[in-house]
Amino acid sequence: MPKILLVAQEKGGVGKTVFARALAEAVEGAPVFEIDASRRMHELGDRVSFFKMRATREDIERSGGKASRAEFDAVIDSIAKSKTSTIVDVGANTSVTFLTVLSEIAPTLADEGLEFGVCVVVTNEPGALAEAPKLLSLAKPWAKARFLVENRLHGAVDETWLKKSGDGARVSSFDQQSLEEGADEYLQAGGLLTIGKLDPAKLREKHGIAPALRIRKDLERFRLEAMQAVRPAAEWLVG
Amino acid sequence: MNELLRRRYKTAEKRAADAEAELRRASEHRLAELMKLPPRRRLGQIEDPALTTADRLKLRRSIAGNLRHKKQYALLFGGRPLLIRLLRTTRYVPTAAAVTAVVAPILIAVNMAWNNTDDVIVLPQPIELNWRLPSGATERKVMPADARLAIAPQSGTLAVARRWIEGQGYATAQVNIIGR
Repeated sequence: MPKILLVAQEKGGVGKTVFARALAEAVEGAPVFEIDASRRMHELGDRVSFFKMRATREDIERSGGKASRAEFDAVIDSIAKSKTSTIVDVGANTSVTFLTVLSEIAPTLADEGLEFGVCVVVTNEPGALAEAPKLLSLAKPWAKARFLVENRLHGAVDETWLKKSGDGARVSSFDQQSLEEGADEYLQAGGLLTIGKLDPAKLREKHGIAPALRIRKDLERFRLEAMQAVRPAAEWLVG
Repeated sequence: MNELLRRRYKTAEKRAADAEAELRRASEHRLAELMKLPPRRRLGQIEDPALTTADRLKLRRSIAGNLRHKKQYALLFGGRPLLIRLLRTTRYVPTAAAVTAVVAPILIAVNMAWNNTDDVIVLPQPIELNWRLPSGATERKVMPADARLAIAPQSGTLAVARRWIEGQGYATAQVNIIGR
């Protein structure tokens, strides 16, 4: 039975795509659906089906969600046709609307053999803290598994909040990562996939021996920690 | 668990461990080279970028220890038979005591300053830290990219950052430096 794992958070800048990429690294070959205003996961090539969201946040709010709903038809069609377990990166500003739309269809799709999971990312920011419980609650009736990834980018989220707002979701954490100067450009350019393809000789040539070693160490550590944060979700996806 | 998934995680763990080991080996090798230098020349290499924080600390301690034990010893008691002979002569005792009274506090102050000097790192990106203020209160503050942060390694990947607050004292925050 194909499983569909939705990586979601209404607020942008919480590292959602990092975790979608980490899932793609963990579950080798799994197709990825990217729903966003612009494509970001170029490094994954044909593995990614990109669904462009044209509606702005203002459009969505003005139309009561209708503006983005119309754009979800293609995504939902593709999900319905999935034959293998798939990772879906739901873009910021569309997560709530998308999960609301899916709530209406998910039971039908489940009857047709699909199983849904949701992985919500939260940071210690008011916007993210407000949206995460909404998303978990929306998915609760139809998602077979729910995961909450605490990204400590802005400090640790209060433990009591995680327990209460997690509402039974499996919680994992991603510590704030310190990166050597120059390391971030590799992450921005090619995501986690690039890390395994770094040429040590070229790194040394560009940054010098010691910085090159530190950049490689930091990037490998970053990739591993991101993969560990989504491990429960990855295990569910392949289980 | 799916065997392929297990292998993916095993490989990722190995790659991270290998990268860390390679960095550590390079640092140890560099430290061994630097330890062959006389303490005065080691002092100029204290910020050697090839050293990990732990090895930088070892280098710093080796210099501090050397200065503390050998140089002070040589200055006051050793290496100069004439000085020893002079000190043994009672008529010089008041002079020696006066010199010691002046020099010893200076050496102690230098030593304390040396041991309490933190490493300084430049932040590659903004980070938010929970500062423990001298009053005991906590303050969440975003440190901007390029800000200089004084840190002292604590244990493992943890370090303590310190920030001076005028009229109050030092604020401290725990930072994860992932072994750098």
